[in-house]
Amino acid sequence: MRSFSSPKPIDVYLTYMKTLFLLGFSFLLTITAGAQDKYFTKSGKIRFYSKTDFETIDALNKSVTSVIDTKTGAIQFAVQMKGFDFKKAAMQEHFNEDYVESNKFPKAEFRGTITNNNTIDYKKDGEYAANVKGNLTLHGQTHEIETIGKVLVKNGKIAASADFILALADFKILVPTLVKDKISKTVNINVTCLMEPLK
Amino acid sequence: MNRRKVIYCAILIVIVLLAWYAYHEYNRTSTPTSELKSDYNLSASVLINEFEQNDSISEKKYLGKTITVTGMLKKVEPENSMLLLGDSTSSLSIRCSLDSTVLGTAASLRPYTVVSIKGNCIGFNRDELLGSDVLLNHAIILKSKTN
Repeated sequence: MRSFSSPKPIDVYLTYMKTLFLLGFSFLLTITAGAQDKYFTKSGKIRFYSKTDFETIDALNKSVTSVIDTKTGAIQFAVQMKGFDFKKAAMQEHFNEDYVESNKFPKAEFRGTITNNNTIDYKKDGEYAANVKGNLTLHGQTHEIETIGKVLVKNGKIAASADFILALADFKILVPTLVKDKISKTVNINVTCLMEPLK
Repeated sequence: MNRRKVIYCAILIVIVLLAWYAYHEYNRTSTPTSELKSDYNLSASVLINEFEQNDSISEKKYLGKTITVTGMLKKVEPENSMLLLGDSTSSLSIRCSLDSTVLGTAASLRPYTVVSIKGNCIGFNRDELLGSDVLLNHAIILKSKTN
């Protein structure tokens, strides 16, 4: 018969349960932490504009998909070329048919990294400079892009933005001879994405 | 003399007509969705399935086309003026970016009702992580009813 002074089996059982609970809890924490490392948007904006004395071209796309992995600094963008809205319909048609050939190349993609990712504290509100480097695929051509963007952390969301310049020739986008002197050979690109944590 | 006058007049008229045409063509704005005829009229699930099964064939078929889709309204994102159509249990959706003329009407729509949306198909985003989407631009609401 067991004595009451040594309730060992219960003790062992409790310790066992505690360990299990802690293990499970820490496992759960790891999972949630893993998911919260990523932020995304499906309604990011890309605006492009170019200006010469003859012609100002201005277009906006409001359906940009973007994901950022705050742990590794990996950042991705995907945009449908037919989603660019111009004020002038003729310009939009020329853009799709003659310049970016959106039937043949419907999508543009950027895959890159924030090279100074360790200087950005995604858990703390504030504004951080982000050096972004990666490959942009547009019109079937891939070209390296490097720019300094901005990461604004506020209330658990990230507002990421960047401006850079593209040379049409880098992406084999040909300007017809007739309008060659009237259209700029470079375009300014402005990206703004308000990203939410991925759950 | 008289014949020459007629020729000059004709040339002048042609130049004026050309200039008028060029001016209007240059300043032409996109046709509003409400005035466009639908190239396709189908259910949300059919459109999603077609893209899911073969993006390149579906892109050739639907890209740049005016489409009317009918399906379950899954989510309203008023801050992005975006409507999501599709099965609420699936990660696949049709994301409809609302036209500026109907921005106000989005707020009155209730999720889990059947809606008909007309818009311009701009592409398909295949995304394992975030869920794939068929994208409609300049979308307008044709009809909505409680399910």
